[in-house]
Amino acid sequence: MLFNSIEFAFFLPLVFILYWFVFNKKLRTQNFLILVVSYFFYGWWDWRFLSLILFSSMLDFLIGVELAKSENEKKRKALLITSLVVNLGFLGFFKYYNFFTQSFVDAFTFFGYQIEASRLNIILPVGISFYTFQTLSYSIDVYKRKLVPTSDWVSFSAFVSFFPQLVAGPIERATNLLPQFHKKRIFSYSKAADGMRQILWGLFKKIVIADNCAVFVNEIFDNIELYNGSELFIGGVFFAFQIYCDFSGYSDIAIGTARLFGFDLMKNFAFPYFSRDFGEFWRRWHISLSTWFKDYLYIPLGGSRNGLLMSIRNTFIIFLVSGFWHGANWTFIVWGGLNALYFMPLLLLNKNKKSQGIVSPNSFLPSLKDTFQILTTFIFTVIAWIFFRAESLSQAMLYLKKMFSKTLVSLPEKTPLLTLSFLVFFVVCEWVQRNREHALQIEDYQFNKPLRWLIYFSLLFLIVSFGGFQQKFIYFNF
Amino acid sequence: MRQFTKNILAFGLLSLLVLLVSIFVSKLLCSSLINTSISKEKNVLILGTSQLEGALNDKIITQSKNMAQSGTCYFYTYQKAKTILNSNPHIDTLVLGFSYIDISENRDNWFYGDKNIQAKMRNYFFMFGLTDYLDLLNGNTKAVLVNTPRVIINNLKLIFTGLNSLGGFKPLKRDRLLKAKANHEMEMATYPYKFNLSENEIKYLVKTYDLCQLKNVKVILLFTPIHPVLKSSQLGFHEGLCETYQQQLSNATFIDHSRYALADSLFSDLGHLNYKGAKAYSEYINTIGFSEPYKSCTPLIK
Repeated sequence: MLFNSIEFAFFLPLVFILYWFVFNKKLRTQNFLILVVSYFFYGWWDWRFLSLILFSSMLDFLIGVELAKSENEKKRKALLITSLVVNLGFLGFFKYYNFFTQSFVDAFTFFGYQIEASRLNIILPVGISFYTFQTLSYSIDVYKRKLVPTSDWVSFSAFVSFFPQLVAGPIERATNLLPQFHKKRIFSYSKAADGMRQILWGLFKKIVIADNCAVFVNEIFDNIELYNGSELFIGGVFFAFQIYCDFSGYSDIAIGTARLFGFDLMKNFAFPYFSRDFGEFWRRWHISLSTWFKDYLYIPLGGSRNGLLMSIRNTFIIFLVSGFWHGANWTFIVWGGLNALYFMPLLLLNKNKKSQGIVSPNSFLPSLKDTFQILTTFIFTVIAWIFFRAESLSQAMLYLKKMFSKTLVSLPEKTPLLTLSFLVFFVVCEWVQRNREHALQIEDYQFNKPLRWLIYFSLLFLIVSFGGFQQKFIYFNF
Repeated sequence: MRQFTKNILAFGLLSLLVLLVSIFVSKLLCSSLINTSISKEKNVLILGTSQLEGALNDKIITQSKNMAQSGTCYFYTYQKAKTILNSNPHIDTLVLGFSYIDISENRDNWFYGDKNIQAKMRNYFFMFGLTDYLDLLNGNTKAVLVNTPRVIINNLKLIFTGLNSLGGFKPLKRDRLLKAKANHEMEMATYPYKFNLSENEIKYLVKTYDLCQLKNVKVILLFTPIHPVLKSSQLGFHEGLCETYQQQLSNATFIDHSRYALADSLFSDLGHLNYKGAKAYSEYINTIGFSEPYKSCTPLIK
């Protein structure tokens, strides 16, 4: 079920009523309701893949129980390896089987050997990369004794399949989300109201900004040869906003929805396009994934503790793996590598943690220096996004070649002005609200009710009147 | 919690009410302010889909006004005919596109497909009667409900753009004939054409025809030239088309130019003339006029 669908508009209020008015007596029944509706939410897309989530949940639950019982380190390690192999095995099979097969064939062909390998017609289960990482974090944390495993199967399964964040995150840590299933949730008016505001803002980002940008971006990427450099540059900028608003819009809706049910999910985006360097960008972009890789890959690899060379190696590893996590295509790996390269100067100069906090906290406008840094970071990000969006490396190279031609400084013949005006409005809102959790967090402003409702209605009106063609969320592909 | 639920309900209902009132008011404004009048010198109205949109140049056929538009099924054509004929009593002839594909069930997608509803409904909404809206709603409830609020802004826009956004002659510059031939060959090998009639299309075609009968407007059904490759694969459909014509539209004149073998250079693809073809064809029509009786629906030589 998509957040931006009519079905969800009926599903959410119904679940809300059942949750707070019917199943509110016992915590266990409330958790059971979450489990059932989460499976229903997922099964709406394809019920067959529920078996995968169910299996994954049962396996990690049992492994957690066994890990708690055992003091034998060998057995504990074997249990952890089982969890890793099975979960990553599923992910590898469904997501990467065809990629690896094709890459082997290509490699052999390159060296003059013709081999044949059959490709399988595999459907990628929606959200597999997200819930796999979530259950893995549980097994690893229990193994490391950072988390006491749960003995409540319903809570654990509800944690794995919690519908607001099941298919596209934020990738929650068991240490944060699982304990919330163990204590009674109390309804908070202000939390629920802010949750609704965040949902509204998320829908605006997805339906008005991302889906409208998508129309222009798809046209440009499908017909690169027809457009000049400046139009291709605008196409790249539009894609940067499309992917940001698509994904962060999803996260906003997920976080807001969870808040309606009394849960706090982790922040996933913190106004990343106002970053002054790439260190800051990656602390603000897809935070739940970046910190997952930091905690479960970068630090176990040694992080920055073993000298500069090891730091560089580990940085490249996490960026390349992060790229590969997004999809089975060389374009994602190059995107990851490019971001690692962008990060290198900061690492070498030991300035990767230089830009902390929000930009220009005490003034309305950024300083010239900040503006320059923000724009430079953004432009480099756009270049990397071209690899992310392209179907193949050759398409990305063609795009860049045409973009960085003489026509880059010519006037674009085609600019979707309406979408551009939405973008300007969006950036201004985000800039003004950059010190908050989301751009529609307005309860501190002491606006009276009619004004607040007028703001909400205006956004709603933009959503129903100017929404682009309903598009799937991009991150459903990952 | 009850307060929260009450507030959400109140906000939801109020928003719904404001949206409904805005839809209604914008429809009224658009219906009364939009300029749908056509020059008095033009007594022939041309309606249909991309075939007619790209084939009949109304600057060459000077007595006509081409308001055909690509992707327009008979449901929208009927809305347009109703509105334009009402405000232009001097129009005495309606030329309507009429081909196999126009009345085949493939066209149902143009009636209630998601993308078509999104693309078309907002432009034609101000012309809808209640039964038309309910018909569409019945066809695809979800898409119609989602797209209904979008008509508010569009209705206001239409007041300024007038009929321009509802059709007009658009010559085709694209050259896709070779590719189309190859695709056609492949399609024929895998999915040979089937010809099942579309109830929706025929219903609104007949409604348009009845409207013209009522207003004493002569109806000309026009099958514009198509490429011989396409024609030869559709020969089996000829009877079905003629049956529809003879049984339900018998007072109309049916002009079948699809059997004309024209040069490849005049086609944009298998079903459409290009700008050169449009010029030649429009000049031809201008010379012979729409009034000449044609012996269509005679058996074709296979």
